[in-house]
Amino acid sequence: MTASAPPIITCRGISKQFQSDERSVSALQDVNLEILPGELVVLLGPSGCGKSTLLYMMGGHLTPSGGELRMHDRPVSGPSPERGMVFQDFALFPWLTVRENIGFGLGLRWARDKVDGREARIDALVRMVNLEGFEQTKPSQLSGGMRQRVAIARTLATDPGVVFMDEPFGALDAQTRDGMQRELMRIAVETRKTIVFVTHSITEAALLADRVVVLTARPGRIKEIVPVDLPRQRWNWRHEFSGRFLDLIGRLENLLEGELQRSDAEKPDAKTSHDKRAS
Amino acid sequence: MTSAQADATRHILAGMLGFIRRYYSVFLFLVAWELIARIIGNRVFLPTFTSVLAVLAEQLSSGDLLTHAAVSTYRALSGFVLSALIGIPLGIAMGWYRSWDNFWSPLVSLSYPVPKIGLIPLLILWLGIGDTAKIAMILAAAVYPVILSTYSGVKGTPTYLVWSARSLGASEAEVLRKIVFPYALPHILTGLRLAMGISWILLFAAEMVAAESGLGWLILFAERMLETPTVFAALLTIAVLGFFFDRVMLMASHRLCDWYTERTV
Repeated sequence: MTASAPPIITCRGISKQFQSDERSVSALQDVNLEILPGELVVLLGPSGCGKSTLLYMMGGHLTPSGGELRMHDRPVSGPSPERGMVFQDFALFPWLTVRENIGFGLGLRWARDKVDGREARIDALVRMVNLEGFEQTKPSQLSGGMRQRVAIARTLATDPGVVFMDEPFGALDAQTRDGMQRELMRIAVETRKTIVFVTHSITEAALLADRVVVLTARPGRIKEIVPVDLPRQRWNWRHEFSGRFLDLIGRLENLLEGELQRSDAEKPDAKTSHDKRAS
Repeated sequence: MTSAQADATRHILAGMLGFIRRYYSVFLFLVAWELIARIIGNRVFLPTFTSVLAVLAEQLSSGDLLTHAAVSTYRALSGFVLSALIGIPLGIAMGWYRSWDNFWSPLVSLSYPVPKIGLIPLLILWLGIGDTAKIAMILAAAVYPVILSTYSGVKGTPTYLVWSARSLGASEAEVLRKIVFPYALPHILTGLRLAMGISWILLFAAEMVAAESGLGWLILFAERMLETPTVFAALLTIAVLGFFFDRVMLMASHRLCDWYTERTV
């Protein structure tokens, strides 16, 4: 990663409004962001701040209400295997086996002429995510961590230029999450993938990010972009650089604190309207 | 008796026991029927189960019953297959394309409650009393559960599955074929199973109004002749046929959608 390399993804003045009945809700305002090749960018913000919305727009699944979104030199106009997606709920195809899920993208028409050695590639991915022996298993028979490993392998199969991950470990228990974070970091180093990762966990952001993009409460705007100057393998931060790591956590906490209060302030309203309906 | 023969006998006995255990309520019902009919002792009012079986055997050996059953099966299955061929594509198109939904949904919901048996006179007027009118009537009734369950299966396809496929490079046709259709398949098969039942019910109604053959016609004809055992023989045949095809549908569902588990009767 060099500062002079041209960005893979460029967001310029991105905004998004959602129409619900006659009300228009502003989810994002004036987001300017560049994703550089090979980096792992974490989008961090309180829930409802529009960080997933931003991710889905970069993926091409939602259209921005305003602003300009580019991958390399081309405007983003829809989903593409160039931009992989990993969802919180795994989104595996339940009727397909592990192997068929991983090979799904490579079996589609666009890949037929372009991709050689399909089977070997799937084999390599199965090994990379440690799922040997489970190739013929259906997703319902797998644990949450295994499901998410299948989803990650499925996304990597088409060799996307950038991978978007929407709270991918949010549905996992704490222990599995720890393991998956390490595994993701290993895969990120191994494949040199550019990754944009959405989370609301400060610790997760501090463990994974090369840069943390802190978003404000709704409507989401970029509050600050925090560069992280720590080695990529941070698992033993307690022994090697606990001071710097805790400083980073402290800084992120400070940035988020005001935003959490703002989003908390909205809750009493919701509660009163709920009480009214009940009475 | 060799040990292999003994094993085979034991196997058959175990199978029969399992069968009886599973359907013991049916056996109890048949025994009750037999007893009550014997007490009443009036063959025209209520024939005994055994006398119905005798008639059944006689009709089977003469080939009459089989001919009627074959004619009825042909009509029911034709209507059923047509309702699948029309209902599945229409349900998918309505569930996926807004414009198809807007155009067809009002038509479907308005015509759905119309009693299809009421169409019999019209269909006879338009199509005559041949097979076409009967198949058309079955189609008119059986197509609804196919359309409605296909539609709701397609509508229920989770957005994130579609998004996943799209971001792996699936075209719209591939999304429909590889995501929407397999996701909706268990629902489609549920609709087809309902359609199968409706096909038989409607068929006998149609055959009882205007026909010269078929099990429905046989029931009516036998009743006029005060041949009540034949009425029951025909009813039993219908029950067995309906049950058989329902099991076929059920097996197909389990085979095709082993990922999807649903309790079924």
